[in-house]
Amino acid sequence: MGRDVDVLQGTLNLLILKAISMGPLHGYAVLLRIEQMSGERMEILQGTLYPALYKLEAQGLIAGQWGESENNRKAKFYTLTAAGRKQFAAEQKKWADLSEVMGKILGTEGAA
Amino acid sequence: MGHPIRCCADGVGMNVGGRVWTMWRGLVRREQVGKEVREELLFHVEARAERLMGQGMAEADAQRRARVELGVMVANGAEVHRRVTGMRLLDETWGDVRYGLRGLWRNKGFALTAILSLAIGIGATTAMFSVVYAVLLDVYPYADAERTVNPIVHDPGEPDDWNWFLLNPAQYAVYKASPAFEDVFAQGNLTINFDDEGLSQTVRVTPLSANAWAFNGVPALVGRTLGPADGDMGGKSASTAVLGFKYWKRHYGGDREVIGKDFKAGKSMFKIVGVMPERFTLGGAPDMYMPLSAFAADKPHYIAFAKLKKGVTAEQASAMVDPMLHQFAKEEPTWIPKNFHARLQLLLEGFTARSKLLKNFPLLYMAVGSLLLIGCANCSLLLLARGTTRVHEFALRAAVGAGRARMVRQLLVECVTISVIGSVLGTGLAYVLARVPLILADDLFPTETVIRVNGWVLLVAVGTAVLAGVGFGLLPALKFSRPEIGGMLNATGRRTVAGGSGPLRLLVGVQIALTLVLLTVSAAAVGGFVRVMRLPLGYDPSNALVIGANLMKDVAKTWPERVALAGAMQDALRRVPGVVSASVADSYLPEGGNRGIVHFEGEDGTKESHFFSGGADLLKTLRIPLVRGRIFTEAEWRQGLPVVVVNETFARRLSPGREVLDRALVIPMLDASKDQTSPELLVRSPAVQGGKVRVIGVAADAMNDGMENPVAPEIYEPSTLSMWPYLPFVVRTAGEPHRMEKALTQALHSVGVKVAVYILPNSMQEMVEHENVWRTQRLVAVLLGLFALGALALSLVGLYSVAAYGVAQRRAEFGISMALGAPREGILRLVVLQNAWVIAGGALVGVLLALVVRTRFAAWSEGSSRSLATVVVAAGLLVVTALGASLVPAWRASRVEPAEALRAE
Repeated sequence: MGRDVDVLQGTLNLLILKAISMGPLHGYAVLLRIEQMSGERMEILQGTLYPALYKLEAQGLIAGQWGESENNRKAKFYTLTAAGRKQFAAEQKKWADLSEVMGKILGTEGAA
Repeated sequence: MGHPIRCCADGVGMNVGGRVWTMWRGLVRREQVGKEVREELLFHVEARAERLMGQGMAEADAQRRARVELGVMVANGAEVHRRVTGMRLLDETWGDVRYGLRGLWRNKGFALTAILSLAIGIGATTAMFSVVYAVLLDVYPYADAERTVNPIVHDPGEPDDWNWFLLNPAQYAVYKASPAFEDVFAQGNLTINFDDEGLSQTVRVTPLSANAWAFNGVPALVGRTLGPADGDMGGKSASTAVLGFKYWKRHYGGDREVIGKDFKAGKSMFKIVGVMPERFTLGGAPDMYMPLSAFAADKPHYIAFAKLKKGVTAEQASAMVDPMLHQFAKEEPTWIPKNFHARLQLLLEGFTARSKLLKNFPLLYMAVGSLLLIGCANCSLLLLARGTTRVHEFALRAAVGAGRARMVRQLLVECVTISVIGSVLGTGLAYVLARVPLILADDLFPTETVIRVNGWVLLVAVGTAVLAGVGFGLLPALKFSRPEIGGMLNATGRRTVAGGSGPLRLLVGVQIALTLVLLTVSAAAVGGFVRVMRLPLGYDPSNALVIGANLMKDVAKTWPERVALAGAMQDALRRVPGVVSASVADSYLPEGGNRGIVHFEGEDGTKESHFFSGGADLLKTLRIPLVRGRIFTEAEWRQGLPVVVVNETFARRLSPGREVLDRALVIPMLDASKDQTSPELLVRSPAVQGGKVRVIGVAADAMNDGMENPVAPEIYEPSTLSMWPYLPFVVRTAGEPHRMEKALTQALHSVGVKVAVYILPNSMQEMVEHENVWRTQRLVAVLLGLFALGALALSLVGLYSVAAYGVAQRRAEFGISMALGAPREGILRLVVLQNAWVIAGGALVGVLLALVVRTRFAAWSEGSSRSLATVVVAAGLLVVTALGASLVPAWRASRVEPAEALRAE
């Protein structure tokens, strides 16, 4: 499994928010969801995931809650908070704008 | 496009609630959070391993790989969590605080001294300045108090004599319309007593015109104030009342539910609609306020308080109302002196003790300022001294890789800890000290005075103390900016930093100088107070009180009846067990009561004298010695014979060069044909003709014009010469006179006549102690004495700790010296001498400063002797105690066992 795309600094947060926006996920599932959404083209370094989650939780954008995993084990599931949802929408918009501008500049519109 | 795009920004906003929650959990549920982090990571490893096994990996390999992929998180998850969530700074600071607290706990003496030094400085300064604020700057809570004037006239011949004047409703209306005033309100001229529900509870009421409330602009504490709808001046009905603060506290226990309650007063029902705040004590702190219409008198008279128009001075206003008042005097001549000038008096002028206190305040200011300085210097001294001894510790820490910032932070945390604890204690102390003036001298201040600790002052004092603490505490940290750690490590305390002792000695010197000044000043103040206390009064106020009987209407209306009644009451009082002596006596001592004019028969010039009427035992009861001649006998008193005793001042000043005994005096007041005062109330002795009396004795002088003034001429006359329907007595008891009040009251009632007994709330001793000069001097003496003692204690502790630190640093050196044969006395001398120079220098500067202060303040602090003796004694005391304080560590140094001292290296 090669790493096709480097994760831009700061985009990991956005990816996490996106992954969780579709439903509560535990840490490992977040990882898998991102990889799956990227069509297996993006791999997140497992060591970087948790600090990002901690930070988002500390900022109150996501909330962790203990629950049962698919194979009946205790796992911590993350969901978006109201603040997180707002933040996600704003970040998404910003990212779209950015990619549009970058596309224009680089002449590869829509290639992001 | 609307917003410019910031590339690569982390861009995550935050949610304050979430952040606080995380911090809180991180702080309080630290263990739990760590456990959860580990559990979560464990789950991750398991899930990942399962997936890897699903891809065909062996279990052991899958487990290992899953762990490797998570990397550092596996082992340090909790640590990472704390760093990411911003808890690490907190952790480190908390570590510093714990380390600092442990250090302070190890050096309890050091910490306690530093903390107390700050606390005393802060407490005294804040309390003092708060008092000054309350007493000098913010005396009255009333709106525009600086423009409000009391209605006063005075006799041009008696500039110190004030007379309040009253106005009837028509006059009030004219006065109120004067262009000098912005507004005028009326206060009932009587406080009215009535029974509450048959409990015969007396309540003092101040009736006010409706505009008084807006005039003074003080809102109610609870409920509302009164308005025009509650009743004003006219009419006869009112049914609402507002309570005074103290009455509310006393009678209703400060219950806020009191609003709307009814109570019966006389025949009417009243509803309580409000409670005034503590400082609103208009009309002499009455129990309650009601509209003027609540008490319709036949001939109402009011005190009219006026607010000057802006730009109009009290003098201008007085000139403007003067003709008006003279017109009033013609209409109603009963209440105004014959010859007068209007002299409207600003509210603040009426606060007579203010100027006296003002005189002493610069001194007190200086004292507390010095105390704060000494406190801060002390704290600095301790921190500096401690810092120097810790150079080694810090050098070691630096050597093993501690960052400078981290070490500064460590020091900072320690200083702040000391400063904070000191500030908290100081604040507490300020609250206690701020009460002292009101406890010691409540009646020096207007009833409006409530001394509160002033927040801003407290802030400044705490700020100064914290700055001093932090500033000096960090000084040692500056050393670490120099990369000489190796050198400092070498200096293992053997030859420690001689430079450090320079500022130390300077601070000690400053402390000693300031303390000396404080000691002299307080010694002078205490001396002044002792002089006031020992002031020969000329009479004995101990265990004596004044009791009187107000005669009801139609009781003892004739002269013989009144004389008989007075005699019977006097006898009844004498029969009470525990009464040493009792006499009819209308005593106002030491202030003096009635004044009047008198002249010798056959001479023209009228003289002024005080008049003191009483019975045959008057002088005996007051313990005023008779110098020559005799006092009137009981029989003469009963017959109302015109014979009087005068005091020595009278004899000397009014009859110079001629024996006053047997001279005949004419007292116009006693001449029924000339004096028309209240014939319906005053009854006169038939034995007096033309106001003539004969001097039969001369009594020694007794204070009769206040304790600050020389004795005035006095005439002791038989009270039977002219009698009001009020019979006053002085009773001297064997014990505390207040405990006899009930028995004495019963004795007066036992005579079987309808009387209202009245006891002056202050015994004669208390009246002396309530004299302004007595109270001011005591207040100043107590405050300065406290401050000086505090300063002395602080300085001695400061000196002791510096000496002790110096000795501790040179312990090894002393050990070596002694091992080489130096005598113990040599060491002792060395250490003491070293401190002696500082002490001597400080004391010298102190003496000079004290002399400057004395010449500067001699005029202000009354009764402070100018003699050098106090300065010398204070300096001696200070030098001896200071040497003593430095002797203890010196003695310890000389006891050092050489081997032990060297081993300790």
